Amino acid sequence: MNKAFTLTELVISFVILLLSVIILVGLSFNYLSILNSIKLRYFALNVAQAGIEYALALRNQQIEKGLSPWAGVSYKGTYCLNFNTSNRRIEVMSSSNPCPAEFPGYRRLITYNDFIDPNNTNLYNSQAIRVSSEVYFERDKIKLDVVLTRWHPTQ
Amino acid sequence: MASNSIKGFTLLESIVVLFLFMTLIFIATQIYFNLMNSAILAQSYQLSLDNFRFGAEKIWNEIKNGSNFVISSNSLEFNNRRCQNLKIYPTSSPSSNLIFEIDGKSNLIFDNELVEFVSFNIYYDNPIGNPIDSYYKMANKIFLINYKVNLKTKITKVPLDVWQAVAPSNSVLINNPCQ
Repeated sequence: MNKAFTLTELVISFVILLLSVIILVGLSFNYLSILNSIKLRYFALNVAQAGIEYALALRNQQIEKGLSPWAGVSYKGTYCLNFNTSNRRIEVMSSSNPCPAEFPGYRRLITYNDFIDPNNTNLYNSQAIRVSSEVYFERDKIKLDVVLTRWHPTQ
Repeated sequence: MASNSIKGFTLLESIVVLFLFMTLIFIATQIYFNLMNSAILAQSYQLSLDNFRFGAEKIWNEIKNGSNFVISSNSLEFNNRRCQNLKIYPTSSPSSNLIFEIDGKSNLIFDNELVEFVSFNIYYDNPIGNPIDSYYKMANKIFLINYKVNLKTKITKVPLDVWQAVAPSNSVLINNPCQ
């Protein structure tokens, strides 16, 4: 008449209990990881946009000085662009690796290509340039593209 | 014999079961509260971040289409696309915030309930031209803005340090767009 639980019954009931606890805990962590992901991507987008803005400003500055719009970045390839807040200049450095950006943990690399002839390596006289701003963060990457032309009211 | 077939729980069994039941209820309650807190945190964080983004993007857009910039380290005055006078500067009363003033009419950039403003700094380039030169020679080509804010969630405050770069479109024009 004495009835007890078998081992299988006990194991099954504990597994069910454990699963429900894990699911609930997972749900609560999921909320927080989504939050973190939103923040990381927002920062990454800002960093990528900043790269495009530096490229645009650099073109305008070179025209202001009476130089080719692509002076300083006149070879097809990858560069690091940053704004130095001390000397208030946009600094350009040829680099194959991404460089640290405004936000800690984010690295950015700007690629310059001839938009009309992608095989052209000398961009000095190019009419249009495709500028890509790639941002690396955590184990992720985002990329923004823009096409800059020589067009300027003074030319 | 009949009395022997009536079986109940012993006191020890009852105590063990009650203890297990109480422990499970306690764990379930903690998980539930954690879940609710996470949901509240997520929702209010999203609201605060949206409010910050809306304010920062508004400033970005106005600078992008602005001209005739007069800058100090933490304030900016310029003409917007309609050539209205626009000022952006921090205020400490009634609470810390950024003021967005168009032709003398001022508005707060951030919602005080959602975003706690800490600081606003502007870095900018040094154009080579003089005021008598063409506009494109004296116009600023790049601004780098640094916002420090705390996002207010119902549970905690989340610090946010955001950098935004903007190259004004009008900085290529020969003539001052608001002359």
